Amino acid sequence: MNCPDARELLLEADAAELSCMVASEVSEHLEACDSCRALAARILQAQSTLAKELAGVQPRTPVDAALQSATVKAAAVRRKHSWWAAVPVAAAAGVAGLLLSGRGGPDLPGESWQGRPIVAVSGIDVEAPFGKDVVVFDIKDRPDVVVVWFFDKGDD
Amino acid sequence: MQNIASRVAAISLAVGLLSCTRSPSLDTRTFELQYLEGGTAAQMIEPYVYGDRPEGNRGMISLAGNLITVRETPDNLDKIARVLEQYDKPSPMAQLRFKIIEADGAAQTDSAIADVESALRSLFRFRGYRLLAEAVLGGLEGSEVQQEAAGGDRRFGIRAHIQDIRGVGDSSTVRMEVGMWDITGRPLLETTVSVRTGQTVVLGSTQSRSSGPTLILAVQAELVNP
Repeated sequence: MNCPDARELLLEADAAELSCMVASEVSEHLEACDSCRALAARILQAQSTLAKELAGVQPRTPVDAALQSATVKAAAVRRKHSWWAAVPVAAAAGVAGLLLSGRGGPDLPGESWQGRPIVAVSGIDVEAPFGKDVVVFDIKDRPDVVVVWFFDKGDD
Repeated sequence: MQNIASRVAAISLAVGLLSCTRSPSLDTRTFELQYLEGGTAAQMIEPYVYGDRPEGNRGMISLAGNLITVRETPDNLDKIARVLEQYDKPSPMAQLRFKIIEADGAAQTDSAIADVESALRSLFRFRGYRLLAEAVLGGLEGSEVQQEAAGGDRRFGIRAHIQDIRGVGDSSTVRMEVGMWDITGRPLLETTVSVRTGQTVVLGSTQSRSSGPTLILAVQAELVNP
């Protein structure tokens, strides 16, 4: 598996795969590739951040359960010269799909970047306020409603 | 015989040269613009107007109010007429319907936001949601509109800059900058988002507990002259 293929799959990989805790093609590639492993670490970190943020929103049920009610569609936002961090926050495999992504920024993930994220899922484009990350909830059976949620960047 | 042949060849050559250097036949036509700005229209038709021909045969454009007069070959004038006919149309207009919703504001279901509330309940577990204020804004593509939205004792400001309207009918998309602020002018939300007609985009932001209940802004877009 090459890096572009692996990065496509990273968007939908679950935490176990990203952590190389299960045997899979993705895990195998991550063990051998430093740059993809760095991206995977970043995705895991973002998932953790989002989980904390959603808890702060005050759900009385676990974030995983909340996310399970949404449909996941992750799409990579490709830029002309670079792509850096496309971070799907799928708490459970194949369930909820969100995408955090950056416009511009470094060629490879792993650096701190405070740009304005932009996201494109289900045909919606949204630009987050400065310093905020964005999550788009594409709700199952509700194509007429899209929920966009901003949260502070880097609040671990 | 040979002499005659060479004369014929010379005459043919002369006729050929004359036809190559013959000046194009130019005509002048005035077009009345209904919606396009004169400058915009002139920019659009400029590629069809040849200003680099020799003196006396150059194409020209002149503007006077909403009239644009062009001197060009009949063929090019026809092309220009077709271009203007295609693009001299009213700008699309969008109507934006905003709802400001307070999360955790009520334990009961608010029927005024039933469609949005069910979606929010499937994602978050706030105790409840209630409609605080509504506003309807309309504007042409490129325009910026703002309005105060009041509900009960709460007042907000909403601003929308309609950047771009694409597509027709149900497949239209309105791209806009959206801003919301409270009565003190404190910004509550600022983003740029594209909204498909018929779709509701619900915008919310995590905020510190000290800044009060979470506010959510739902926006729907419709084309007024699709």
